[in-house]
Amino acid sequence: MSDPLLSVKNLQVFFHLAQGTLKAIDGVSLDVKKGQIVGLVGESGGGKSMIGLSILRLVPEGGKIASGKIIFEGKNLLNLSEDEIRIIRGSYISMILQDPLTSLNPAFRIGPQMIDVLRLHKGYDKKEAELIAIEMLHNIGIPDPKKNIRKFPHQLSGGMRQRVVIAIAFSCSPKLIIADEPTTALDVTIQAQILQLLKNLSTEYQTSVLFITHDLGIVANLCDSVAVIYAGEIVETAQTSELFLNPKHPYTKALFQSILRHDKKQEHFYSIEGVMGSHIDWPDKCKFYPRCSEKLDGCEKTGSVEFVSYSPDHLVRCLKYE
Amino acid sequence: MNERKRVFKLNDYLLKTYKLTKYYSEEKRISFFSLGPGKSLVRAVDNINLFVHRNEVLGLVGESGCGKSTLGKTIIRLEEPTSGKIFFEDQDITNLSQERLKSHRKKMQIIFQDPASSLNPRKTVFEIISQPLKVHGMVSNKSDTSDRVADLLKKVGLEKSHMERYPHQFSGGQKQRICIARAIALEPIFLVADEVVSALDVSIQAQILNLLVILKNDLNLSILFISHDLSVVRQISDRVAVMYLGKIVEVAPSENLFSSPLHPYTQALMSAIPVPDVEIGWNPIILQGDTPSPSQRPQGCFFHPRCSKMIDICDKEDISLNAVSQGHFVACHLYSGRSTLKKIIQAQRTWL
Amino acid sequence: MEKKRKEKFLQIKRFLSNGKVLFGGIVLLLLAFTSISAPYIAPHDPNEQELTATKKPPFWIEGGDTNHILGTDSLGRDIFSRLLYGSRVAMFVAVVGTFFAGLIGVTLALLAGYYRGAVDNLISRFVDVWISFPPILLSIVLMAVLGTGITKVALAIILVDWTRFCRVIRGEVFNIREKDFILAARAIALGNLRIIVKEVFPNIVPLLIVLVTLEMGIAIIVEAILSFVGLSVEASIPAWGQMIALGRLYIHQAWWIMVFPMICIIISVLGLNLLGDGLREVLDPRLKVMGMK
Repeated sequence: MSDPLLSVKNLQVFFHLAQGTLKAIDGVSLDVKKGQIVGLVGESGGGKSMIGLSILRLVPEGGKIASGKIIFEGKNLLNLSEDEIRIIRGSYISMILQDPLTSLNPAFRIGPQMIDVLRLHKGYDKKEAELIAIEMLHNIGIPDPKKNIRKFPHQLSGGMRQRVVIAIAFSCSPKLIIADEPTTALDVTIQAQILQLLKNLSTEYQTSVLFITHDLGIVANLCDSVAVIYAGEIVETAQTSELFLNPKHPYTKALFQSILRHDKKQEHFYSIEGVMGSHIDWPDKCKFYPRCSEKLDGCEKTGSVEFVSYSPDHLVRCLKYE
Repeated sequence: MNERKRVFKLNDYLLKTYKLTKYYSEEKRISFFSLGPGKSLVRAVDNINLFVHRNEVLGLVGESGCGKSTLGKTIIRLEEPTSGKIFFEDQDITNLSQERLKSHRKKMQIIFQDPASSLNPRKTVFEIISQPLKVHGMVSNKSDTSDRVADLLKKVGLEKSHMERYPHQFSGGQKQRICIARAIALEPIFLVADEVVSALDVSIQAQILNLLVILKNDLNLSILFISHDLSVVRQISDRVAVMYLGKIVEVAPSENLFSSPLHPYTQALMSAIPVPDVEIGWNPIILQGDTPSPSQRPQGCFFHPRCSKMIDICDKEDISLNAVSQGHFVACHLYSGRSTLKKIIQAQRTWL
Repeated sequence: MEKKRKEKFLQIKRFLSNGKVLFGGIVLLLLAFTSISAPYIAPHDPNEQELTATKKPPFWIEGGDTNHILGTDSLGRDIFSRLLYGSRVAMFVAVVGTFFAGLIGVTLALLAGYYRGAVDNLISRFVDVWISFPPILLSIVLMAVLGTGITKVALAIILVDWTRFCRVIRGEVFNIREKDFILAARAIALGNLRIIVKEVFPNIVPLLIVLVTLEMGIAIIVEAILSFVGLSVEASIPAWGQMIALGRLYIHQAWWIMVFPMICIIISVLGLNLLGDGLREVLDPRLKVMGMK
């Protein structure tokens, strides 16, 4: 087995607030192998997006990467200089965000925005870059790319905009793409188009994708492996089919139970008791136990829970399996 | 709806619309070449015939911009209809003045998608929930009001002690509960629930849905449940209507619609949802292109440019809802004319 | 109730922990105090001319004494007392001018922002036309027409500055009108007037407070300019601008005649501006939520 493309090891991101320390990311470890699509699922406020930002060292103001390693192609991104990380961003790792309207500059036509990226990261001249941009737009299914390349972002529909963002992200043939809820703002029929596109492009370019989402349906059908995150901690990680068929962590199980499916009528709707709340100054112990339906006596007393290997590729962070 | 096939007597309808239409005129963006006040007509709701039975949940699904929210607001006269009629409890309320409407307002309420936006941030929960009671003179004195508010809070799963707090001190799910408490304060019989769980996490969605179901049964409510999320709609609706570009393209009892959707748009919509199950494959029907703008709808059937099952007539003639079986109506040329039944059976067989 | 009081206390504490608010608040209180109690605390009659003691320097400079702690002007009037009385003019104009300018501006803004359409068009176009006159020129012309007098100054400020309130508040009302709680209020059959008063207005109060403090600073400056060019109050009433105009003639011999009223204006306006700025920070709901969580 070769080394993973990206390996996040024991990452911690802290926010020192007036009320105390918030461990937004608390000991996250994660591997993304070459050509794989890895899903990162969890509810809002769980720190999913923060992991994506931390990998590119774009932690919002007030936050600090306290410890850990982010190994990308053998280099620890946390040790790179500001100039070096800038080369990584865009050329090697790209990001696709939820709202395509904010990730495109509204003041410029999409053509120049694509061409700039190609010139900056790939060193094409202007003519070449334009031809490549037009071809990319064609490849991702934008009709009449010669005409559309001269449009401003607001003149395109949401789905089209997200296609352009994806085209820009792939234009430098990066090794890894971090996609943060890229389809949440879109309608389902458009979402299906975008997901299909993303999957095809990732296969074609052999690009790994870290797909951040709250939608388990997307995970089931798109991702090779999954990490479930709760309150800044990864509670369970496994191959997609293993996780769906054999969920172990009580949070994962509860999450599966609470999903509503359009292909099944449910009589009762299951919900997880309580709310996630904030975990400012939370002591070293399981963060889920106050809401857990399977909690043991030890949960409240024991310190931090380590990952347990349930089976070779299936890790769980729960006292039950220790 | 096609009136021939209806099985309910007239007084079974709580609410009925007849050719309800709502157009907006939208000022065109002034571009360099077209100065001047250009206006385009947005047909948000177009000729809709719809009914809601007593104690029924009617799901209304469609993608953003299809006019489902506008329909919901127009039905309870929060938007003025351009034309058409609305009957509520057999009374025509289309042209009632706001003054005359007041007594009806008690009976029909609305809950919105974003609970943060639908609660006035400067008011306490008590002020918010007691307001409808005071406006309609349903409470006599202060202690009575306080009792009523506490009772309503209890009904929606909140505590009496929450009364003096402000909206921002609550989580999203709790805020939505406050909105529900305000909506049921007037003891309505009809509720428009406009994307009420869309802003919430899955685990919270279930709590709100459970609450709605309980309230529906306890208070004998009819609900127009508007959502873009078919998974949610299926769970709660008795019947479901599918909307596309201002028109209803299919309406059927929930189980019928989900087990055998007939309209190509409904089918595409359903197949596009990724199912959280690794044992079921996902082969979405990929629709071509984007939804056209409601101000520039295509000729003929509005869906034909994106439809994979298009036939000759589709781009020429418009089509309205036709009954295909009991309570199942669809607006599609595939299911009109001769040998309809054969086509329907065929469609049902190929689906799943 | 106990809890409510505690919350109030915390709120006040949060207000005062902002340095700008604290400084501005003290300036405002000081101004209020001097303008109300000027007749009681002023050591001299502000118009009493001591022709034997003209251009006396402040007490810490040779030739000055504690009888006239900030010295006297070219007519031998006590500068300190005149400053105290001058604050009355400044405050009167600031309070009355701002109140009515705000009243007119906010009322029209609420109507325009709430009803939109034709009402909004009418009001907004009117404001546009009104704003296109340069404000200082407009007030000078107005004063020339209205004649001098303190109420006329206030009137000029009202007529010039209501547009400022109208513009800013209208935008805010537009935003609030979009919120679902307005629709919810209509759904329970609340009348339009009550929606404006009970639902919309409370939400513009934070912005209004900020605008009011800023406007008071502006009013003080406008009054100073008008009295500087002699278009404000009658000569018998001491006003800061007037004092500067007089002091300008003697700037080389007796700088204090001009400098002290200038300092008063600067501190007042700075204080009010900082207060407005600080209140904006404190009242910003986003920051507030962060502070509470």
